Amino acid sequence: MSVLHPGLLAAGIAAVAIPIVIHLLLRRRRKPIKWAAMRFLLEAYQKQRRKLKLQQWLLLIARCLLVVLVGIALARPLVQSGVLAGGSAGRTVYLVIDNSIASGVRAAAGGTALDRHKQAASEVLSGLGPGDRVALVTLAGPAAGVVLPASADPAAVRRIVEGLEPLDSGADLRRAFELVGSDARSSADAGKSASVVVLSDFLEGAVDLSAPLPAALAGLDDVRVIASSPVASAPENMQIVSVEPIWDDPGDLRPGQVSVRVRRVGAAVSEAVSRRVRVFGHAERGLGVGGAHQKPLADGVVRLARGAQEALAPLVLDREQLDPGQASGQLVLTAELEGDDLPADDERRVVVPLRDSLRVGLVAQRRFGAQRMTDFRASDWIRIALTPLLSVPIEVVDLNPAVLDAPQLAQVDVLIVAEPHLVQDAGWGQMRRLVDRGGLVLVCPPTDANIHLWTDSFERAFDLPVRLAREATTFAAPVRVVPAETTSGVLRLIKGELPELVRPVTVSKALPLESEEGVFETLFAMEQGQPWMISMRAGHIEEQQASGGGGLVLYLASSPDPAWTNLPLMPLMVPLLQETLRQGIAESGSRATTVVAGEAFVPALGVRELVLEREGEPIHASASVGGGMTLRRAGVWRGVDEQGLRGVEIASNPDADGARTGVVDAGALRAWLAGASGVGADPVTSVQWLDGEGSSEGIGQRATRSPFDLPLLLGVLALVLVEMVLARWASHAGPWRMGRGVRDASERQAA
Amino acid sequence: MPARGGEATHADATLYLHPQTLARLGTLELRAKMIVEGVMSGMHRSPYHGFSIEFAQHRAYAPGDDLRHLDWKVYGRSDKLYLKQYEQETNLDLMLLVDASGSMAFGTRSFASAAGTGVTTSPDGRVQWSKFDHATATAAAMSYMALRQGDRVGLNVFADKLVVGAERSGAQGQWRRIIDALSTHPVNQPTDFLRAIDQAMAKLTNRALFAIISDFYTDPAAIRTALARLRHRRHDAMLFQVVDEAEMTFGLDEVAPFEGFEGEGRLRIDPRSIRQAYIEAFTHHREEIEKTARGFGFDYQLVRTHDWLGPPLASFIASRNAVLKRRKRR
Repeated sequence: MSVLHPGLLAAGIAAVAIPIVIHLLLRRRRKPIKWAAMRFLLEAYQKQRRKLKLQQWLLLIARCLLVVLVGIALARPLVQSGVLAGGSAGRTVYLVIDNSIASGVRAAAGGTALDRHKQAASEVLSGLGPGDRVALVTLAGPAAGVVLPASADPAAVRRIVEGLEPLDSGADLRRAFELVGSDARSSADAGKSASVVVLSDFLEGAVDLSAPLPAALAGLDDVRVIASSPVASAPENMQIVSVEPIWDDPGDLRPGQVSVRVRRVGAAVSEAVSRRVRVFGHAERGLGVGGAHQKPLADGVVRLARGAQEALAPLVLDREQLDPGQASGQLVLTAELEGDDLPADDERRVVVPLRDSLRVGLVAQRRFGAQRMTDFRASDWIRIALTPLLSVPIEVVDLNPAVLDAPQLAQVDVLIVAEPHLVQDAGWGQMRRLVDRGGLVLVCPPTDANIHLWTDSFERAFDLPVRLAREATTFAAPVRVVPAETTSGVLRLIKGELPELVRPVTVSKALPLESEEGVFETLFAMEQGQPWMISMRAGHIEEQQASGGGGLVLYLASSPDPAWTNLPLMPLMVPLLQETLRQGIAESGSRATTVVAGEAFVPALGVRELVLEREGEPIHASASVGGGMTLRRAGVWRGVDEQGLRGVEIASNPDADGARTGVVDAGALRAWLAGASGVGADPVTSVQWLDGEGSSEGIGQRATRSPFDLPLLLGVLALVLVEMVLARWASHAGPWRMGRGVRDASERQAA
Repeated sequence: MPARGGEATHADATLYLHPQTLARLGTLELRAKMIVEGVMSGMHRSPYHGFSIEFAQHRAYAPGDDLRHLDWKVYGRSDKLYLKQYEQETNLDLMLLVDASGSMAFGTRSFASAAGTGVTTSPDGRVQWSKFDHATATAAAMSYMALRQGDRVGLNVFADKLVVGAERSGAQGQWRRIIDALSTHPVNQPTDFLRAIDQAMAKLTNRALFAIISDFYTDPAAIRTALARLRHRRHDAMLFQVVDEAEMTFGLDEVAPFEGFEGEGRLRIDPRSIRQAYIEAFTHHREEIEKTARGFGFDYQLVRTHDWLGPPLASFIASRNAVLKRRKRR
């Protein structure tokens, strides 16, 4: 036997003390009455003593019993129906509902898959008895325990279920089972029977048969999985899987094209299909582009040939709309595909940083007066490479390495440190702050130093994943430089020409890496394999590092001086520096500006909350303790910092993979779900299909009822009557209590 | 009831002897005088008419007898010598025993209620008209009446032993001594009735009328023993049991701790729960006292502190006359 509200039972039992406490309190307050005829009082008391004691005890017991009985009645004791003798009481039902992006698939008959799940959930809830407890877990990644631990109020759960709507992240069955397993082990009802009712279409996007489920329910013998049957036919779905801006020219500050990749799933792949794709722009400030009501920046058609599942559609952006000339900031490009049965994945966004010009701080001692080329130092070569022509939108600011301060660094987007040995510790700290807010720092060794002690400060300031040597290596013969295999986008625009450009570059002297302690990208390597130019993230915050947060730090192992390398004299110098800086700052600044719903990311530093402006109430998402965030809705979210100021925008895209609508074989799915019950669990016994029509019977047949409600109520009423009679009897109040003997005695005395 | 007098007189007497009237009288002396005057004025025919030397019997002459007592008329008729014997009737000896045990301090009637407007406390500051107040007023009145008739009056105020007393006397200053002795307070001690009677009897050489004024809240067996001793010594006795109205009805309704005056301890009880048993015990005790007293041929009178003093005083007078008549017959 168990009770529905254990707290009320405990309170009822504790309340037994109330009559006793009242009795003791009243006892303390009375002042004694002086009485002369005490001998008769004592004599009468001796005669009545046993009777009075009995009365008092009966009254006290009745009152305590009444309080306890009221507590028990409110706690509603339960006994499983049919097993009154020794059966276990109410069971727990974990309702796992798929509200992922795939649950938004519209059926031919109208309504979405989630509507069907809600209906099934409603039937399950209707089949529960008063003793059952129900928990609710939603599958939209990351799966959330909306009602967890289980509640005894199915009506409240029903209201929550009715309010569910499809989100834009994929189904997260793993975490859902982990949540259920964890709760089943830790809850007060552990050891009692429980059902995990999973309501989903189990489409391809929700089920990853290649990776087994965690055995979250292993060892829980009384927990069984009841799942809705997987759908037999796949709804047709076309989705945008990526949108990439393309810069036509390395000098451009605006993308000229957008590459939209489209995929189709579930449809008859054998048929050719074409769909209209449009791209809209939305800028936070300055640009007058935006919204669906505006003219699209690009409009085209994507065609999938017969048998093809994916197609790439390059769309040319309307530069006239895009280039008003004065704006900088962020541009959100939204690609929209002509609608289908699953509209959620038919649009995708990308955030593109907009800049009018790039301000580069060159950290080196400034020299005045005209110099001959033979007198050029590394900083001179760098300056020339950055501004070969006046029309190049790059502005170089000379910064004294000895006095780097915050106001100076606030003016620049990029720092090139040509003489790092002159930078003070405070200066390195300022540079670190620049990187943390999304800036880019390129460091190369000074030309003239013999011992490079500055590397200690450099490594310490940025928590670098590498250690640099303190002495430069001079090669006997110039060493060639080769481009490395990299996924970094820093050099993507000149990637095609790199082999040609790099071929003549040689290195005579370098300050190589001494050890590698973490993740970094090698952009160029020396012939013998040593990294020559690397890209890395400033470390220290692990999550930040893992998610690509923070600005970029580039290290060039040779000073751009002919004594070290012939790079300054080679054609590579100009595109290398310009593109490295431009794409680097784009990559650096684009920290977590385009994310996928359901995937964790780290927003820009200082952002504590994201707000999605939609029709109706704004939706808020807060950063977790570690600073990470996960969004379940697609859209343009706006970051809010600690001061409540709104800043960068983050484009959240629907989880295209989670929206794959291919069907899954029922047998394979059953075996996969059985994996949650442990390795070797029998799929047939551990996983049952939930019949759509008989779901309530399937769950409710073991539901429990409370058979004590009426008897307890009657018991309480009977005890109230008993207490009243006893109280009246014990109080001896009223003439009806006075026996004949007393009346006679009183009358005699009065006479 | 003191007399067969008119209603007006009776009403006056009631007024004089009502505790409310008594309470207004500042001193005990004045109180007693007022009581007696009230009683006397209510009498249609005073029973106090003096005593004289009266013939008792004849006996045969024996040589050596005083010839002055020969009854010559008898000798003339029968030619036999008989002596006339006369009985000298002395005045009555009244022995007042007043209980001053702790329980006599009890009283539920307030002085304010007893005295009416303006008087809220007794001369010694008490606010309750106690059983002891009532007892001393009664004793004072009795002694006043007896002294006026030439009786000798003695007083013992007792609890577990003699507290204060006045030797038996009919002298002129006796009234003052009695009043002084009565002007005391109850002590927080139980009653030792037997001891009080023994102490009183020890000073007596002749028969006396004992007027015992007490609540008799003691063991009835002790009372029986004490009265038996009185009867054995051929004394007469009147028992005046002074009780408060609240003691008889026990009309309290709230649960409270009760505490005795004589160290009986404390008892927390709901009065309603034992009222029946209490009244039965009280009544039984009272009836047993009365039955015991009457069994020895003594008078018993219940005196309520809320009532006037007429009945006890009338009872006293009747009893005194009855005693005198009995003695005369002997």
